[in-house]
Amino acid sequence: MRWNLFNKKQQWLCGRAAEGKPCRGGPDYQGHCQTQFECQPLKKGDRWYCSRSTPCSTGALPNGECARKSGYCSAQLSGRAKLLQLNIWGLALAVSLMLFMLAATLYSPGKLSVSHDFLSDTCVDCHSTGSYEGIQVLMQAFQDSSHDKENALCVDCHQLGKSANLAHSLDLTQLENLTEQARQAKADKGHNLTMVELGNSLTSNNPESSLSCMSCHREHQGTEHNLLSMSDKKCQSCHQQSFLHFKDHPEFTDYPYAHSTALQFNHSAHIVKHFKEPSVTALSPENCNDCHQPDTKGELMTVKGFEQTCSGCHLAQIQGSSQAETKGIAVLGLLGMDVETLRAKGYIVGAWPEDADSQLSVFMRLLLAQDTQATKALITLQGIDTLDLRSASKPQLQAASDLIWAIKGFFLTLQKQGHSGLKQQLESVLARELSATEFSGLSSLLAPSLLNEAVDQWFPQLSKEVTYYQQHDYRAIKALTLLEIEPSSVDSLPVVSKLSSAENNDDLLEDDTDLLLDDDDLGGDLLGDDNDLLAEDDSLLDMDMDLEESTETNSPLLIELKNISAEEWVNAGGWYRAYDSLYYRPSVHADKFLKSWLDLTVGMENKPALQAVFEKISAPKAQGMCLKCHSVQDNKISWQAKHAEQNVQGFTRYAHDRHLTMDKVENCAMCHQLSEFEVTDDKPANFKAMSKTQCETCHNEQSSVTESCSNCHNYHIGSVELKLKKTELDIYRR
Amino acid sequence: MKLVQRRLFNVSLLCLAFGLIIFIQQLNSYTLVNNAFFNGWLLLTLMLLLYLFTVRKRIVGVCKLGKVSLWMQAHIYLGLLAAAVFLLHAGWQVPEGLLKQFLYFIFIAEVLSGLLGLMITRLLPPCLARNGSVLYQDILGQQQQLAKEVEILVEHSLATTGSNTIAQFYQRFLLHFLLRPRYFWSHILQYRKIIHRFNAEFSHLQRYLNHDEQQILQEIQLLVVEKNRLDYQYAGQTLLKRWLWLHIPLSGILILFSLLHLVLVYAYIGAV
Repeated sequence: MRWNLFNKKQQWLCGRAAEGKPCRGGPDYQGHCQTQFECQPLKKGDRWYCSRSTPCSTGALPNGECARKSGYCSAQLSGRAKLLQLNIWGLALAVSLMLFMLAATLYSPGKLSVSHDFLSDTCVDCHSTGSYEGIQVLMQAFQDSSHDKENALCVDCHQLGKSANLAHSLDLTQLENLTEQARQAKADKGHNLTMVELGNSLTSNNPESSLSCMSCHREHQGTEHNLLSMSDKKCQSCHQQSFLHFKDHPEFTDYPYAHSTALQFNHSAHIVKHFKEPSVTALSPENCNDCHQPDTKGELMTVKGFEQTCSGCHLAQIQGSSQAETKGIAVLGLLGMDVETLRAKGYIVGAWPEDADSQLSVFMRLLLAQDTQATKALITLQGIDTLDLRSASKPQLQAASDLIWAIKGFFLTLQKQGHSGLKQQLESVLARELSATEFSGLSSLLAPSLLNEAVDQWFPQLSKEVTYYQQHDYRAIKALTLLEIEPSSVDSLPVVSKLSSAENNDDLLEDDTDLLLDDDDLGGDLLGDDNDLLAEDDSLLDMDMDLEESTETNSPLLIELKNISAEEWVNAGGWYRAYDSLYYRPSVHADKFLKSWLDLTVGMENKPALQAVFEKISAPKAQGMCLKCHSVQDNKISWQAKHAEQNVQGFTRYAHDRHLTMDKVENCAMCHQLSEFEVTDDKPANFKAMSKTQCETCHNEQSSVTESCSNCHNYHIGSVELKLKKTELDIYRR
Repeated sequence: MKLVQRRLFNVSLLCLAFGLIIFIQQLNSYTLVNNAFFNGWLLLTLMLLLYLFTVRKRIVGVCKLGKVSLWMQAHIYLGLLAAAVFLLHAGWQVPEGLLKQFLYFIFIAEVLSGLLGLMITRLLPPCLARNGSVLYQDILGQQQQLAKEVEILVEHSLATTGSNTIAQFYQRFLLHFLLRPRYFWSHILQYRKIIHRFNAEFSHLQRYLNHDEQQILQEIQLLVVEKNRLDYQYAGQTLLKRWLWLHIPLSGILILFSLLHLVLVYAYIGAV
């Protein structure tokens, strides 16, 4: 083997070749004509002579050259030499151009799409290699590179949750579960997957491995390129249930009702039964659009507001019109207690309304839960009718007594500290701080006048009573309640009662001692004033009696006013007092008090006091009837009907607006068909699960309507939002 | 194997190879693998194989490497396959980006020059052979010889007839034509109007000449026809050699820029 490489001698051709008479020797390596002399003189001795057989007349020159130049020509480049030169120049030009492109960063693979065109000036924003220049860029080709670095730059702006790099932005557990389900489905149906499996055998689709964003989103394809376009085949790189047409799509299972709805609305009962009732016909919607409208994206059919839909018929229920008992919820109050028995058996209980006959409200139980003494007492009194303690045991009687003093202490704290006191009590029970907004809803601006009036009426000498009790001055308490207690009886009081009461109220005692002294100092004056007021009250009472008599005969309006109870008086909602309790009456939809308490107590199964409150206000017939419609999902109450959350997307999407404008789609009933009359947890909307046959009417291979996976499915599930830059306010201070 | 059978076999092989590539692309499309990597590497491999033909031509005296004619066959069919793979790689459209566009057009030029060469090497040699073959290196010499002969005939006409009609005709129409090869592209495009025009001029002149002059003119006409034949040979054979002046430098530039493209792709592989 030999290389037929370029020979320098082949570089030049004799210039006379063009005349068809090339000289035999041809030009030399430098292209000089070698046949410019007629002969090669010979040297004889020190002289040169013409070497021809017939020497020429001129002879040789002294330097040995022939004196007769002839046949001189200009050598020409050979074809191979010209080609070689062309190659060399071409490559030199190419290398120069390459270096120029590298230096001037002219190697961008194309324009960015419209959504990214603002990043055109720099590569650094999207490429970890972008920070390098010139030849350094080329060196990066030989470095270890991972798409994770580039993904991190994408995720820097596009926030896709914690599992952004995993398939569908789902976490591994979800992916594994879904993969297992898909495997089962695939095994069951036995699809022919030869192509897909062969394709997948070329790569390893490990669900744990992160995916490059660029697997689907190809940039630098021009401004018009759609970054979101994704072929069905890409879907099938993981979803191995292969099908080309929608007709082979797996049958829907409970779509779109697989999950319970936020609002539990029995469509069947309303449409078939209630809306036909003569009393509500005028208020009934005439078509689906009266209650539903597409969201701003045109995808989700949202429910219009309560005022536009349900309030016509259901506002009265919220206001308590259907309540057989009280329309308000007993929140703060007393419990009926057999104080006579307690007093008879020597227990000092002080004043206690004789007509109190209620059970202790769940709210009170919750608020007293931070008081160990009260909690113990409530446990001891479980199952005991506190209105009849004649057969109660000593511990039960002691518990009743302790409970009375705990309630008194609670009300005194409330009276003295107002909302702050109530907030502290609640925070103590919840073992966390409450925000101002949260507490505002929970208290619903309980007015001091109402509380003070109630407490003053129930316990006219509450402050003194509690103070004496904490000082173990039972005699004073007796005096206050105008009951005579034998000294021996006081001495015989159970030691536990005394100690426990003292322990629990030590704090109060310290604070109250000063107040007590002040009160004592001022006592005479205050008493005097009270007496005056009492006298005035008597006169007012007389006036009322007179009015009553006069209105009975002359003014029916006044009679009507007289009969309005506190409960009716607050029919616009709010706090009122009736008997031995302070009630809250909800009157509007989305009542702040009920909403706050339901939010606070939902999902608190491990905290009985909170759970009791939740059970009380969430009962089907409870005031407000909130949970008649609003469902509890994941320990949260769904206050709002399903709505499109900003920057959050699900796996499936459906363009209601576009479909409902088509001639082929006659009405909603084409897809949503009523089913069972009764509402069940798994089918709260009373619609039959949709069948894919309904979609197949248009989405089929014969029609031009798309059958693409991405037409109905989103790839990224969950949060999809842009990370906004934060502007530090210091910028404005500079 | 006969020519037709061989061509049929080669075309079948080419179609089979392209079908296999399409099949692998289809399989790839069921994965998240970027097909551009598959067809890009394939294209580069094909380009290097094609360039090997130039290297093979430099190696002489070794039969184990196969005949150059076989290499030529392989070069042609691999070239066609490379063109098809290139279209797959480019996505059947002019790409975005200066470098990619440059590569795209260089590749197109390379393919077109190759196809042109293929066409030339298949069509021209039979035409040249029909026209009477002459060695390329002898053409210019023969043309000079013809020019001298015409010059002598013109001088002879002046001397014998005393008329300068032929001399003026020579001066006006023939001198420029005879000095060097003319009408390159007309000959390449098989454009025969040139010789018809000359013949018309000769016919036109003949009526003004006496018998002796006419004989001289006829001899000159024969020499002009021969010069035209040599022009045709010169044009055809020059093209047979010179099309490589485009094809080979372009292949070098193409491979160089393809390597740059490859390096840049891998420099930014994290984003691919």
